[in-house]
Order: sequence, then C-alpha cells, then structure tokens
Amino acid sequence: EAVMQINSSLPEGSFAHVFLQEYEKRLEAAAPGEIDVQIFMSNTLGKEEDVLQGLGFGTHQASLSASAVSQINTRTSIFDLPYLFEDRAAVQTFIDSPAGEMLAEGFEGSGMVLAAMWDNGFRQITNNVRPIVTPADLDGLKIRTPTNRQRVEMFNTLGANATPLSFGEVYSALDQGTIDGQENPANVVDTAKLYEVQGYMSLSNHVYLPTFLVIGEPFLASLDEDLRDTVISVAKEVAPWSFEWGENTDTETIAALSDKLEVNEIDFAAFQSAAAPLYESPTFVDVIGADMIAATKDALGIE
Amino acid sequence: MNLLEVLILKTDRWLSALLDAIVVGLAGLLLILLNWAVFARFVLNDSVSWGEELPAYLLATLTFVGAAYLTRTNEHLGFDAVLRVMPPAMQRIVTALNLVLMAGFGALLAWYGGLAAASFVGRSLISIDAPMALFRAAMPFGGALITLVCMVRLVGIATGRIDPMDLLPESDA
Amino acid sequence: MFLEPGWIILILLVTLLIAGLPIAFVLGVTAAVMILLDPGVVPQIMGLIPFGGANNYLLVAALLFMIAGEIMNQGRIAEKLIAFASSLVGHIRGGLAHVNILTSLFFSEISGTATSDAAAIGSVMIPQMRKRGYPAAFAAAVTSTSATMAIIVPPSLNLILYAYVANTSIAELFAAGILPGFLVCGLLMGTAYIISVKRGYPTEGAFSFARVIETGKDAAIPLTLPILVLAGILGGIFTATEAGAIAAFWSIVLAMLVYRTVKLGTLVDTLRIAGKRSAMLMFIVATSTLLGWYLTNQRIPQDIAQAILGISENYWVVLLAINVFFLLAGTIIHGTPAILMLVPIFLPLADQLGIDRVHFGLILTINLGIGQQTPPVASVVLITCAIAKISIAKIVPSMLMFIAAMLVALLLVNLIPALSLWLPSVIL
Ligand code: NA
Ligand code: NA
Repeated sequence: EAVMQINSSLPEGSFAHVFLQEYEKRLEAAAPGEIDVQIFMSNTLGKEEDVLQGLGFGTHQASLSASAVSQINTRTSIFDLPYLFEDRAAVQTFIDSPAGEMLAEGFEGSGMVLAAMWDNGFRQITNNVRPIVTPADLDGLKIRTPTNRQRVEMFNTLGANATPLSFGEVYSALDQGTIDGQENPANVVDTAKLYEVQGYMSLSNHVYLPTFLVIGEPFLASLDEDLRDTVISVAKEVAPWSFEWGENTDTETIAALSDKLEVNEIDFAAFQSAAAPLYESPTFVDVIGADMIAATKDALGIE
Repeated sequence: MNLLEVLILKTDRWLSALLDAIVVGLAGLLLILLNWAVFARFVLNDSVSWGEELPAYLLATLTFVGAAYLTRTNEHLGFDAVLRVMPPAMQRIVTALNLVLMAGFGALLAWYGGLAAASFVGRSLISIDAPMALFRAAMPFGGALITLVCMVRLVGIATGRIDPMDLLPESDA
Repeated sequence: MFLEPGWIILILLVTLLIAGLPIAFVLGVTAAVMILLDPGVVPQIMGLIPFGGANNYLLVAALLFMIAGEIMNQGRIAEKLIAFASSLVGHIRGGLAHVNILTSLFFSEISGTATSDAAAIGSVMIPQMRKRGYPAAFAAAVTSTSATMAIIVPPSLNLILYAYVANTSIAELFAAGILPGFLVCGLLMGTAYIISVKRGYPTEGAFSFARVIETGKDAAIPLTLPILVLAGILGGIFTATEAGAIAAFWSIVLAMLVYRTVKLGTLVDTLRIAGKRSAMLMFIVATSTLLGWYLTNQRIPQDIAQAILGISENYWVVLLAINVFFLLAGTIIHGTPAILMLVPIFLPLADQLGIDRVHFGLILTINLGIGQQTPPVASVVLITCAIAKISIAKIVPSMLMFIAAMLVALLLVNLIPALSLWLPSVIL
C-alpha cells in the first residue's frame, strides 16, 4: 500500500482541509487497499518552501499550496492579473483550455506535477472610510497587501496607497488606523474577525487565486501506471466539486458578513479599464510571460 | 612541532576569528535590522517589506555558523554528570564515540544540506533580492566545520594529546 | 521490525544523553539513525527540515531578549530595582529575603531566562544577605527558587518556545503567566516569612513612604520598559520580536548613555554571548525539528496519546501523570530541549482531554521551573551556588521549603484554570 502524505499550510477545519478530506475519501474508494492518503494541516511536515522543494527530492509526496508556488512556476502569477476572471465558471474554462495546459507545463523541471486546481476564492476589499464603487473611491486609501510586487503595483495603479504588511499585523493596524483597509477572500474577513475593525466590504472580486494540488515526480514514479492515473484523475474530479462548494460557502459567508459591515457591489467595467495598463506592465508581463497572458485572454475571450 | 601541527593551529586560529566575527556580526545586524523595522513601521509609518523573512533567514544562518563555533569552544549544552565520574579509560572511549557521532551528523548536514542549498540556486527571497542559496549554504558550511573540528579532536584523543575532560563545558552538576 | 520505532527512539535518546553527547546532537543523531534505517523515508529530508526549524521569525525574539537581559545584567540595573524593592518590603521580618524575591519579580519582567535573573540579582543580594547574618545556603536558596519567576512572568523564553511548538498566541501566553507569577512570588515570600520568624532574621528598618518615592524614581526608568513592552505585546501593537528589539535597544540606551555602566567593548561581548546562546538554543531547535518531523511522519504522538488514554481516560489521573512526567523530565533535561521534545508528544493528549493549550503551557513551564531547581541538571542552582561559594549538597535542605511552596503553586495552577486563563480573556 502506497502512502501519500499531503501537506497544507492552512489549519484543520479550513476549506483546504475540507477539500483534502473529500480527495482522501474519493481516492481511497477508487483504489481500495492500494493507497493510504494522510493529511497534514498547519505545515506540520515542514515549512511550505521546504515541502515544495522536498517534492522533487521525494521526501514529501504532495502539497496543496496557493501563492507559494509562484516561486517555482512564475506562470501561476497569471492569477495576480486583476479583473481577469469574472466568476468561477471562467476559472474552470481557463483550467480546461490550452492556457491551463501551458500553466501546468510551467512546473516542468521543478520535480512536481500539477494534478489539479481547486477553489480558494475571489478577493474583496474592505475599508473604514467609504464604500468602494469606482476606482476614484480608492483614492488615497492605505490598503494593506501581501508582500507581493504585482499586488502592490495593482493597488497603486488603481489610485490607492498599497502598504505591504504581514498578515499577523493586519488586525491591529486596522484597529489603530495605521491602514484604512485590506483585501482578502470573504472567509478571511470572517475567520480573522476583520469585520470588528472594518466598516465597508466592497465585492471587488479583483483577483481570483486557486489552490494548486502539486504532486512530487519521485512519488508518482514509484506508483504503478494505473494508480498514477487514478491519483491524478480523482484530483481533477474533485475540482468542480470544490468550486461549487466554494461558491456556496462564499455566498453564505457574504450574507452573514452583511450583518456586520456594509456590503456593496462595484462597477466591474470601470475597474477593468482602470487596470488595463497592468496588462502591459513589466512587473506582470516579465514574470508571467507575454505568451501566457495572450493564451489566457484567448481562452477567456478577452480582447 | 611538525608542519602539519603548525598548519592545524594556524587554521584553527583563523577559523575561530572568522566564526566569532560572523556570530557577533549577525547578532548585531539582527539587532539593527529589527530596530530599523520597528522605527520604519511606527515612526516613518512605512513598513519595510523584508520585516519577517530576512531576519528569519539571518537567524538560521547564525544557527549553523554558531553551532560550528560552539563545537569549537565546547559550549554545546549537554548532560555530562555520568561521563565525569567514569574511569579515565572509559571516558576516553565514550568521548571518542561521541566525537564520531558528532562528526557523522555534521557530515550528514553538510552533504544533504549542500544538495538542498544547490537546489535553491537561482531563487531569491520573496521580499528582497537576496540569493536563497547563500543563506541555505550556512547549514552545509556549519556541518562541514563540525565534522572537521571533531575529526581533529578524535585524532587528539586517540594519540592521547587531548584529555576528554577538556572537551566538556563548564559543569552543570 | 523487532521494536516499535517509539521505543528505539526512547532508548537512543536516553543512552546518548547519559553518554554525555551534547543535547542538540542527541536529538539530531537519533533522528538521523531512524531516518537512515527507515526505507520508507528519503534521507534528503535531513537537508531541508533542520534549516526550516531555524528559519523562524518568532524565535528572533529570543535572541533580542537575551541581548536585553545581558545588557541589563552588565549594566547593574538590578541595583536600582533592589533599592526600590527594599523600600517596599524591607521592613518585613526577613527583609532582605523579601527584597530578593520581589526584585526577582521585577527583573522577571525584563529577563526571559532564570539563569540571567539569578546571576544579576544573586551577585548583589547574596553578599548583602551574608553581611546581615543570613546563612549562605538560605540566601542562595531564596535567589535560586525566586529566579523561576523569570520564565513564568513575561517575557519568557520558555513561553516563546512553547508558543512556537504549540502554535498558540504569545500574547495570550504572556498574559496567562502574570497571575501564576504573582502567586509564586506570594508563596515564596510567605515561606521566607515563616522561616525568618522562626530563625529570628532581621528587618531593614521601618517603612518610609518618602523612601518608596525616592527609590521608585530610580527604578521607574528600568521598570517602564517591561511595562511598555508588555502593554505593546498584549495590546497587539507589536509582535514579540519587535518588543524584543525595543527592549534590547532601550536597555543599550539606558546602560550606555543614561547610567554609563556599559562601554562599547562590553556591548560587543554582549552580542557575542547572546549570539552564541541563541545559536545554542536554535541548533537544538533545528535538530529537534528533524526528530519532530520523523515523529509526525510516523504519527507517533497520536499513538502515545492513545496508549495513555487506553490506561485511563480520567482527566485528573492523566493530568497528574503528565505533571509527574514533566517534573521528572525537568530534573534531567534543560527547559529548551524539554519543551521541544515533550510538547509535540503530549499536546495531542492535552487536546484530547480538552485542556486549553495556554493553560497547558503554564503547567509545563512551572514544572520545568521546578525541575531547574533540582540536581542533576540544575543550571540556576549552580549559578547561585557559585556566587554564594557553597556546594549544591549544602543548599538542598534550605531549598526544600521553597520547592514545597512552588509545588503548591503548581497544584493551584493545575486545579484552577482561571489562574492562567482569566487574565487573557479579560485583556485580549
Ligand atoms: Na520573564
Ligand atoms: Na533539574
């Protein structure tokens, strides 16, 4: 019986845990007695950077990661391009398109294979000053971003004052007013209790980031062919289920949050055109690759 | 004294000075960087981007270079109450075995750490342009030095030039 | 295999420890042997995990608090605290013993380790106590046991490490340590009072409010630092690491510019001492992370928890067993490796029993604090005995009463979770 240990940086009970448990259930049912899936949440098998490197060495078998893979496959920074995906259906169209294939090919030579992309979420802007409807509303607001050059440039281009800060400091910085707002998926606003220190949540959907289930090549090579195919195909089968689960949970979370802060829709078209220059910016193009951007636009039917 | 001994003594002196400078330098650098980060965040109201990542990598560097230094100065924490009361012949054997284990572990850190460091070549820290492999190299570097120091000592114990008791830190019991 | 991996690990650890191999290597060699013998584990893991263990922002705080504590120590800041404590409690029977204990409480808020606490206070208080007719053994016993407050009262190196291993909030742990710290202080002072009355130890003159004000002014500068640092951490304004940076910076300003007790050369020495100590600590963290990885990979902690729960599922029986185990472990291993080795093994058990992780951290810390007071491994006692110039054997009888007082504190912290958990729930 093969042992497949899967790492995640997120805690038990998180959406990543729910997806991995679903994968464990389906894979063990599809290959009974052939594989034992073991889930390790909260990075208990090592720092994410070490785990991802270990996939190539064969010390680790698989990891469900998000932005950390951009260090390994820069094409995944395509998900940093704002206003690219209008909804989760668009994300799934992208995954099944030649652009999705191109993204997966970007992992070649890194010792790991992209088995599937599962849900994570659209990011929303919260702040303390006013509802954000058009780009002009962002003017002069100090918005916290992760330490991510693309995100910083994006918010600066839209007129905000991007402030990179580690996530652990966000709550108190919002509380003390050293920053005005932040951007994260709705479930983070909920679990980190950011609604306690924020007045407005604008459904900006500015960026969609999936989670990536990556599997180490040495591990895959150790499986016989049938099992190898099953490991990958079951991962792909979980994807649509995860997007549906994510969509429903997002709707519920936003509904619950609307009791705690003021929620509003944004002018998507206005933001899309304000963000247009970023599609030419070297900060994005040099990292993602012009061919990757072009293929993605093709797949999504964007001019 | 033959040429080899002179060489060993000179290398030892030079190496100690180097390790000392790195340890003092890194501790000082961390003190300055962390204070700068606090100053930037609270006074300049402009957080530094490397605030958490760079200090963590510097601490890891300090760890492995410092571990080699502590091996050189016999300052690793240990439980030596039993070793101290053993008959001299047995002390010699047990100390030699300990040195073999330390040298072996150092070699594992050097070899596998070296492979890991090599696999990070070409990658940079996320928050600041600094080669990841440079920090990662601290572990193979420290591991190799631990092996070197322990091998020289092993020869000293075997030839009777080193008293096992001289290799123990200040007593704890 | 002939033996379960858990038993091989235990036998290796104990054998190598007794053989006098440095603790970092005991952990690393044990992990390496298990990894090399296990065909299911790829040995390249040894090149990744130890670095990951040392690559830690949270533990930079330990280095910075060590620098702060060492500068405060070199800068003779303890003397100002002693004068202030003397004005507050010197008039009680056994005055200098109370001054010693109360100063320890003050110093605890600056220092994160019991050894720096014992060195700083002992070097001033023990000679003074001897001059006033206290026996050396009594003076050393008071200094040594009260130094335990350094790891209970925040900032505490043990609690920082525990927060890292148990993945809990430092702010909560720090807040949780305050009341148990006061409790230990009160019980130690009560014990000193009873002994002093019985043996007729002197007082240090009458209480004078004017003197409290006068010495309080001197002590205010060093005491405002820990208060600021604590308020900052507990208020969520800065991280423990940032607080450590501020504490180190402020103590340097104080010692070099205000009191002028530390020169540039001493500062370099301090960086060397703190840098080496931090490397010693972190190398143990690095190798224990490797062993911890193997344990996690083999799911050994869960198996141990199941085995213990198989014997008894009664909350109090298991809690008692855990306490006895921690106490015994504390007598033979130092705080750092004890936390790094024991917490990953016992935390699943605590979780299953429903013991709050913050409460569990305090229970562990007080146990290890008591363990530091008993041979064979007794770094704090060793330092105080060196200062008092007596042997460990002579100090033991004088310590019994104080250790009994600390056991009472341990019992109360076990029985009353609110002692640790009430304050964090109110201020955080
Ligand atoms: Na303390
Ligand atoms: Na002890």
